[in-house]
Amino acid sequence: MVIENLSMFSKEKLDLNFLLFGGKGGCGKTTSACAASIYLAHKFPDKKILIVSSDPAHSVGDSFNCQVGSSITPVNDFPNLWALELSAEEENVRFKQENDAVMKKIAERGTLFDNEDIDMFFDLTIPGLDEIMTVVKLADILKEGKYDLIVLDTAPIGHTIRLLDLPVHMKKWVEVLELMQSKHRFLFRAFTGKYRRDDADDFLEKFDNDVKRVNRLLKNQRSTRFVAVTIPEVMPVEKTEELLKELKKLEIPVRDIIVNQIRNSENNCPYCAPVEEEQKKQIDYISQNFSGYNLHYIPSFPYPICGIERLTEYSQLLFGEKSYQPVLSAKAFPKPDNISISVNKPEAVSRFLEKKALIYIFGGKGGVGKSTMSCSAALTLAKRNPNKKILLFSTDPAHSISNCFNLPVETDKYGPVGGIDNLFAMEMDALKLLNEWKEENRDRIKETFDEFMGGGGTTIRFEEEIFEGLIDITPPGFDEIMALRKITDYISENRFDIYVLDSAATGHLLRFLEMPAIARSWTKAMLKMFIKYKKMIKMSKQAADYVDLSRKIRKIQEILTDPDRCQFGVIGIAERMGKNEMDRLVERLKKLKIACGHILINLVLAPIKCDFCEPKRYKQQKLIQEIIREKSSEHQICQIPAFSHPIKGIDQLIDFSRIVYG
Amino acid sequence: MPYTKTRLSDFSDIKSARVPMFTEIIPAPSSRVGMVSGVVPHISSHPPISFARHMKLLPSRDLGRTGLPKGSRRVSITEMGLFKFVGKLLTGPVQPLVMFKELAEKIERQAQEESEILVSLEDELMELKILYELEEINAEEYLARKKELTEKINEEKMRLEEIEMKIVERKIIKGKEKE
Repeated sequence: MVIENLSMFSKEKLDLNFLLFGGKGGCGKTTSACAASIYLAHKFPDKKILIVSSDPAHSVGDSFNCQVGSSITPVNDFPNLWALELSAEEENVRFKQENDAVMKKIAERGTLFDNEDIDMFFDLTIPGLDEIMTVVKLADILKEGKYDLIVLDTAPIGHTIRLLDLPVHMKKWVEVLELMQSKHRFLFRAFTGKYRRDDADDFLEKFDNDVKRVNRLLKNQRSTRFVAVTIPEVMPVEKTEELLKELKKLEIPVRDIIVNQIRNSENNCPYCAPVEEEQKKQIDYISQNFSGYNLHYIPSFPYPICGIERLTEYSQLLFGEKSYQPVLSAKAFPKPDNISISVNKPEAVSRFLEKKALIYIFGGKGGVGKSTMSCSAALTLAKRNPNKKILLFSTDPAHSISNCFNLPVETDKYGPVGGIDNLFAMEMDALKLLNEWKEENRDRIKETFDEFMGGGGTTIRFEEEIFEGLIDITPPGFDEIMALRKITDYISENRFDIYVLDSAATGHLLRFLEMPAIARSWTKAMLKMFIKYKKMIKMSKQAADYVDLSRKIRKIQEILTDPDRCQFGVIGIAERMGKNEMDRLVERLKKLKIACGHILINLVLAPIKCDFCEPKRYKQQKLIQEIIREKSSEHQICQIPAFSHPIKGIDQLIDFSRIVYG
Repeated sequence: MPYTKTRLSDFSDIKSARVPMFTEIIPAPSSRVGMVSGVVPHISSHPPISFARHMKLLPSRDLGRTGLPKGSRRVSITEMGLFKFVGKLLTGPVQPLVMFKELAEKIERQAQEESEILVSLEDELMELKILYELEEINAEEYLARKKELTEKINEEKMRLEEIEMKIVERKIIKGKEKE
């Protein structure tokens, strides 16, 4: 196969201000973003470049092989390149320190709440903080004007779409804050005859301008470019198509697609040959269906692309400086002799499903095979427990269950899947659930206001509009709370005996696992309000609903932290960046008190005589040994073999589960 | 739970708005729910003070001789006033119906009051549940108080059912009498 590369950007001048890299997890977004930033920093030494990671599970530092933190850090050897791994928590603290007083002032002026109530709500963690703080930080960086180019390494698809859509929603937030301030302006004018601007007006104007600036930049066809990254495999290509459709809707300019990890060994390896065969089909499909885009083909490397040297090599291929040469021969690498792994017992994986848990969760980095593992686990559980009902569900905004089964899966409610009587699946449309909740609450707020004012009594126009506006500006992570609520409903109604969660990639999975605590704190705040204002509002249906929600959330918190009822399987791959992310996930799970008994290392290569596979296997086995050394005392380490064909469709999933789970 | 009878002014027509009269504001049915409070004058067709009462020859009509609120005791002819007494005499032939109407109204009033007690108890139970969710009371206290309140609620419900039954019975009797 001839791989011909296109030059990515104009070589003479850099007229871009914003470059985003996005795609399905595990396709090489971070590697591409880092490689592009070092290439451009080298090519345009007079331009200042900043690479920002918005994925809560950062890996920019791992990719550069240097320490990058939550403050802007210079990247080794490059005087004009800086990196930032955005910490939503830290940014939130900073934002609050700067704007807390003025925001509270607006809330106090615009709502019926007193200082105590406002302080309580301002102290709560907002769901979807990562996306909000990315927009806020980007606005600050843009306003500062210190950097000529910002390269954004985004989170996997679902959450990136949410991030890119956020500035539009944030405009609504400004409108509601503006409405709150208008009430103050009206009253001030009514009593004093004229109105004098104050810091609240300045804040609103600044915030509005910041949001507009980010929105304008995102949609600027001349200075912004979104680069989609994919690999020539069925599921990533399908997900890329979905991503491109969404980006078109959001009017975000996309011209380039990087087709990464192309196998080109041209040997008779029993593993490589079928993979290459499948890749060829997908490359044909890509060239036919994505012909309107600049396609950049990047080969698969038998080693991880980490550190400046390897990133430079990658960037030269990406920018067409170098044509692809099959130089990646095994000769340069030692043979994987003297390495023997003793833990590769299939019964170890099988044992993962033997514990009679209520919930099984599979989590890990993007592209490690979470969906495949969870779908096959659900199939195995359905087969082993014919008298039990199993629900396989996904809360990731970019669902993969239907892609994995190659069958349509219900979004509004659960439905049977694959013709198996006791297996049900659901790809939760969390946004739809959220909208339903909003409508329900809109009616309730109206009811409460009517009740409060004595049925057709006093109309406090501002308050009613503000409350309705507040419902519309629900933060971006709130949809996940709705998904959580749905599952807690099912659990409390005992609709299913076993639940299997196909989660989002690490960063957002952790956010989801933290969600019950966040949701509980919000529910508690609402309940405190009911107690405080019990003389004014009837403690009827709303209070009962919040008590019910609080109970259910408490129950799910108990389940998640109970090792007998919740089984968490961390899925990893034997690659340096994958291992780093896996380590961080295991650490965070420990902090969240979620028991994780099993580490499942996926895509482990078999010992094959192949110039490409042998060095890769050598690296893999070295890392697996490291994982065993570090983790086997607390976790059961299991290896899952790499398959030469994509696992898609019910038949292949059944075969896969037979091999993996026994 | 409505507590105003009138429409208060909007912000927009704040200047032109008519200030609501106190008499139009009905006090909240439960003391726990009242937000707007005002003097509710006692309005009666009979003069509040007669010469005999002014001279302290008769007790005040508000409390009567017994000192009990007016609704709880029977009003004697001497306390009734001339017009009401004549009225009663004139309506003598249809007294059973009038009596029945008064009784039915009394029962309905009582049912209303009872249902307010029920609402108040249910609110108390909800408050208890909230306090437990907020971890302000422990499980032991919660269960004990919950049991107590649930019992009270059930008692009230039973009493309400009895009253409802009485109303239904009266209505049936009334229907028969009309026939």
